Amino acid sequence: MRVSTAMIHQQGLQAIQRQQAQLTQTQLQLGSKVKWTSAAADPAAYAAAQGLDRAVAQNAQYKATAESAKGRLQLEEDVLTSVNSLLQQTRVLAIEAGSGGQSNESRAAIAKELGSIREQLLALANSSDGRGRYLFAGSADGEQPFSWNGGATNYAGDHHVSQVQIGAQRSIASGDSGQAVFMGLPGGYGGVGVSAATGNSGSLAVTYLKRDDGTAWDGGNYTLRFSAADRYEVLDTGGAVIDGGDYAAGQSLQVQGLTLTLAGTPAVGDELRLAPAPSQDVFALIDRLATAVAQLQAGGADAAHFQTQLQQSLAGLQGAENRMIDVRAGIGVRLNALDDAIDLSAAYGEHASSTVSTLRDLDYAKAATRLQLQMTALQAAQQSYTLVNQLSLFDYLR
Amino acid sequence: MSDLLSIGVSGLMAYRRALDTTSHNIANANTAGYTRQRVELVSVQGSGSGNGYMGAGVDTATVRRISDGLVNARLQSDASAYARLDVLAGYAARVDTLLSDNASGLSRPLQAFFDGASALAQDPASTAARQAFIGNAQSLAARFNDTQAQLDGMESELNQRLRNTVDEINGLTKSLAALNDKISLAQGQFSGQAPNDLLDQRDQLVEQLANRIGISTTTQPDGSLNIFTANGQALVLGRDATALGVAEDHYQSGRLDVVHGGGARITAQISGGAIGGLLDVRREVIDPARNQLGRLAVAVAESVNAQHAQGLDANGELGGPLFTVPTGSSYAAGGNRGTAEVQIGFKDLSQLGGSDYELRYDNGGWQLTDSRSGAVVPTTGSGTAADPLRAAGLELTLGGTPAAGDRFLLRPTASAGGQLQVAIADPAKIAAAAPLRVTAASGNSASAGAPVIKDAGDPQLLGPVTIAFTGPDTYSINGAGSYSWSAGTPITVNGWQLSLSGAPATGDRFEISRGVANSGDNGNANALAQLAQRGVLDGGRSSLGQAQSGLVSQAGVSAQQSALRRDAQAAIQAQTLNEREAISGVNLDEEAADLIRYQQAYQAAARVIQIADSLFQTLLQSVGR
Repeated sequence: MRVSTAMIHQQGLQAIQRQQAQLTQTQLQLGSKVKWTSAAADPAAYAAAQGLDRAVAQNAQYKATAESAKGRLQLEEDVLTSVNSLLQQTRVLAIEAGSGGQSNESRAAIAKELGSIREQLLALANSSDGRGRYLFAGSADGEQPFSWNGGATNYAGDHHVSQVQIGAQRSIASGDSGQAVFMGLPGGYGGVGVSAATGNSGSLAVTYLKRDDGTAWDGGNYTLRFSAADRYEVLDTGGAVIDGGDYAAGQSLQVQGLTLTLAGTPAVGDELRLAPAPSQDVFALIDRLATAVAQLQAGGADAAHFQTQLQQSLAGLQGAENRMIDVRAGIGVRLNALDDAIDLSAAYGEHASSTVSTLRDLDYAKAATRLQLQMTALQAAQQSYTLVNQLSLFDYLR
Repeated sequence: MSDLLSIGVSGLMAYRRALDTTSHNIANANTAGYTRQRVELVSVQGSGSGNGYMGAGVDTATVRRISDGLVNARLQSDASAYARLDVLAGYAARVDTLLSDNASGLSRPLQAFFDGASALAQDPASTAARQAFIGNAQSLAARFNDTQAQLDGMESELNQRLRNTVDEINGLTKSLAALNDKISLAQGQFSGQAPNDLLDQRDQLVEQLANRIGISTTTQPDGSLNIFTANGQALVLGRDATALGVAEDHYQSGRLDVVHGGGARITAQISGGAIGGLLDVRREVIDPARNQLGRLAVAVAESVNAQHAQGLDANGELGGPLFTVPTGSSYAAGGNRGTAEVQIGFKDLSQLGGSDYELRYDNGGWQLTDSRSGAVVPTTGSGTAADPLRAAGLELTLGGTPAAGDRFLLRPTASAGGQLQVAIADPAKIAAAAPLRVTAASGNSASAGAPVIKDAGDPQLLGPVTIAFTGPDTYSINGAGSYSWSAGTPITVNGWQLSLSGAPATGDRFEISRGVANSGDNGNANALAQLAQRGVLDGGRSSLGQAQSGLVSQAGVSAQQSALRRDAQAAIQAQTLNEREAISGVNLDEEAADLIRYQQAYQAAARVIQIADSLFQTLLQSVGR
């Protein structure tokens, strides 16, 4: 093939430029640490890397959300630990008040202490979540949820519990409503209340009441009247006798599906009333206990009356303690789930990042080798250009 | 003797010309477009006699230009193809970089928007989180606006280049017509001898013209060259040139058409050259990118707004639009005789495409065709405000009275990316909370999940509702009616649905009421964050992020393909150029050899004259003695 002089120059130059372009590309890669900076280099891999970037960001979100929910649940658990210790303190005080050797004065002091416990509990129930919102108010957490109106608690929050997304298909409650923690405790003994009539003169007290299994208790109002110290009868609301039996001191009575454990001896005509007890909140429970403790006592009948109230309050207190155990167990389960979600999101995010890295990141060893090779090739192109262009027939024309 | 002398002189003359031509070649070794020349020597037939015919020396028949017309024609078509692909690849690379660069692309602000929604879900009542969410939405809208502005800028730059290129073409065709004139004159002057250097000039100009527009050429007997566009419109006929022009398209939509001479629009027929490349860029790169960007902007606005409307803001009101929804552009054709106007609304994201459409009124009905493929798009509805024309996810409302043959260009999403704006500035107006809350009566057997909004437009949506079970599988709503309940089927009231878990018992009560103002609930913020994963486009198959990746990879593929094709064409062009150089290029060594050869021949011819002289002297001396 015939070769023109311009072509020799042109081709030599093109070879150099090609090498320089490749060298610049490698240099850019080494500088930016990535194989490509725009989609044109590898559109499919670029789209895949973007999808993985989204997965990394998504998992980072799940992790951040789970960590934030974890903080909130731990705060809630701390508050509930304090609530629990206040409830235990209440139990100790109640038992102390019920023990022999207490005077009206000492009981008044205990009642005062119980009142202060109630206030502390209220303050705990109105705890902040650390962000200026109330911890136990459901969705209405901008307003103070609990207020004490002198005889009952007013709950201004709602039943709502916020869910947080901690995984693609996984959400979890980030708290508990005040209703679910402090309100709606069963009244009396599991929903059945027992009280001694005000005119009782004997030393009979109810120390425990148990609902038998099944549905034998029909939720009605009944009166248990002692027609003699060793004889009782059960009256319905109309005053009709519907049941009856003998009673011996220390004996349990089976009445309408309920088992009553009694202490002391009744006077003739003493009455016990059985009725369904409405649900109560923990503050009212302690308030009632404090009121009972503060009651002045002047004799065996008053003491028996107090015992009946005290034992029922202790049963209510047991209900409140059980509620705390349930709520805290729920928190524990959720904290475990959150830890699990945090680990899972971290692992998924890690996998996605490492896949992105293999797609996008530069293999330095390879790139450095390539750089060396390209530099050698450029040198060769430059040298061959100068050598070839030194040859000219005109040099020999003298 | 005189024969010898004249033969010697003819040699001197011929080799002098050969040396001149060789020097001309050497002098033009680096002149672009120069074709090497050769002196063609012919022997001169002398007078005959009985002894035979005696040669009478040498003559130069012509100075031949060594070129191959076929290679030159290939060089022209290669130049057209390369110029087109070079323009296309250049713009495609710019669009690719714009969309896929981490700093200028949409992926980061889009992700940040959903990250903001997620942060809001963690702390829904926080003003800072709400403010940050609005800030992220603004960054997202601003990035859409910026990207649109960049693409719009490219289009106006492209229009400018189109004008410039047409001007250049007109300048070139004018010069070519003038050269044709000179060449035919020069050729006539010396009995058909070709004016080699003018021909080189003309080939240069033709190549420059081919760089700008695809052409075909025919040579006339008088040496002039007729030039046509690839489709046959004459650009140069002999000494006359026809100018091209640019004009707004029929729809005044801001695009330019190329017009030929009197006014025929030849945009669709142009192929090749820079101008063909520019038209390809508009059709293959900028239009699809703008349409897809706009489609994504519409999808962001519509889907986020729809979700935002299902939540309660800090004032306890249903959320308003977070983004202003872009509107589509419609252009009436210049020759429309009716008064009809078209409003474009967006109805169904899952059906929304990235096409432009032509809407035509004929035979008392509207027909919609896809501008790119020309396929007819089936429509439903009549076009009134109450019953708009529905097709391809769009809602077309037609006002005024159309006349038969009226046409409209519909560009639903072409400018949507620039219209995306954040409509909320007050952090309190961010609807982070779920609108309804359930209060279950204590002692309920079944429990209820959060109500799911099915129709945010229901006027009774937020009205209080009490669902009371009057039996294990019957319930009343607000104390009235008796509806049957079956496990697994949600209870639907006032545009929402309530799902129960567990078996309800007689007496179970659920009160559903409007959420409070300043709520700590994060239900809607969660839903907004989850929107990142929800399929909203392409029949529900693509999430917003996936659609964004689709946009980027589409631009990437286009850039990759056009760069590959340009490089391939460059290799082909280099090959053809080498062929041309092999035939027509000057090789200095060859010319040096020729110099020696012709110098020697010249010296020999001079020696012939010297011999003739010495022969003459010999004769004179012998006679004079």
